[in-house]
Amino acid sequence: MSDHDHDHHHDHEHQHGDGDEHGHRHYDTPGSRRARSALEVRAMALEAALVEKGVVKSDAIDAFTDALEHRFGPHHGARVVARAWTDPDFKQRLLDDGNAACAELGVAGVEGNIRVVENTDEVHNLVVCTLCSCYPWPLLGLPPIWYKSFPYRARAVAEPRTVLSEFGVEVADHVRVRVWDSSSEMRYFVLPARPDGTDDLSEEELAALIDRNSMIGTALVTAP
Amino acid sequence: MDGIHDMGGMAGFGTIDVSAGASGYEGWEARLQATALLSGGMSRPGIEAIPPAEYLASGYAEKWLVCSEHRLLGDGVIEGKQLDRWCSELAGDPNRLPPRDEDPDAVPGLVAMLTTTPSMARATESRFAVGDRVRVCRMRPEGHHRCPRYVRGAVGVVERIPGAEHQPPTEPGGDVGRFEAVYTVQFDSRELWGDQRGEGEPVFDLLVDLWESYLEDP
Repeated sequence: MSDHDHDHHHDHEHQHGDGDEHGHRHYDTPGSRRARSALEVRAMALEAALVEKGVVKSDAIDAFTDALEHRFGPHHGARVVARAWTDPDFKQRLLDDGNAACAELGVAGVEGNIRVVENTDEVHNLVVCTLCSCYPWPLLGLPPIWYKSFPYRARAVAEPRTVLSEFGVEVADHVRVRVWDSSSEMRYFVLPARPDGTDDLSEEELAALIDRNSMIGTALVTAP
Repeated sequence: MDGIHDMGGMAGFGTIDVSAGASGYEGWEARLQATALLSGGMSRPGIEAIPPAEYLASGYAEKWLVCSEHRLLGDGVIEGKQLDRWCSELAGDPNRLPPRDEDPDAVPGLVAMLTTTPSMARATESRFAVGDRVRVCRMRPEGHHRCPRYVRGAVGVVERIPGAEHQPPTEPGGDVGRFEAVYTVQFDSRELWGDQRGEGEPVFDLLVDLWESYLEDP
């Protein structure tokens, strides 16, 4: 059963504002009580009409939704980064051919044609899509709201250091910032720098340190 | 189309709500995305055709919904009265769900497609080489394209040739365009925005992938 199905067994209690993306945060909490917004009703009606017409099958929608929500996600990106930090040969393969290296770890999928760019002491990479919201789905899942927001899309390519400071990331003046605007079918994935003081950590422990933003370039990974 | 979606460099949107969205989609929004893609309702040209004021006023999922409704109704795939009927049934009864119709035999193929990484074709012919200086053409395209306004007229250097692709369809449901080399072009930030060092922005590199037709000799 998909999340969608058990989403709908809640009472009609209060109304969220339409288009208020923040307001949907509680939808996946088991036992949460919420109302269907007008937008959600329209989305359900669209599915109902398409299924009724035989255009789309319900279990195809289930499978696609499951891939977007569960099969893809930043836990895969973190595994790839942790492997790159602990296996220099893998890291080289990842930088040379991101798709093939990710496939070694079973990470693959649509919107996953990637180039990996490495953060170092001299370079800080930042990824954006000014035209829409291109994003490496298999490694990171669906993009966070801020990534799709107008100010991020507008400003990341013009004032990256100011944008980074809003995320609490200060980049030293001598570090070259490289901003990647995803405009073709190539997706960009940041290999963050490994923090000092993590030599004793296992690959699994390292993966647990790596959050989604560090693989977009809007965060640094810090030692525990 | 040179629409409101082409946001690179625009001012006035304020600061970024960096806390927004532990995950980008919750429940029904991911399901809508799946439905919109499977039905062919969603397309970038369709999203970009949303009038600017509506584009700015709509949340992300709403744009996918509006785009899909417009396309599927316009093509006669679904009917307006059908949508109205379902809206009233689904809004009126919190236990009501869309009908189900399954084809389990088709699911493995779909999952295989979703979990296969699409690769870009090798560029066997390319007008420019890595290291070449190139200028982005001045243009005013009517249909969908992937050349952001803020790089037009600017001179950069070919950093890599990731491969070759068809140019995207210029309209919803349209055919793909010319198959040609795609270039990762690197620009010095001063070429795009002038010298911003006085405003606390040291010089940086901007890299963007551009189809061969978007480029000319400097």
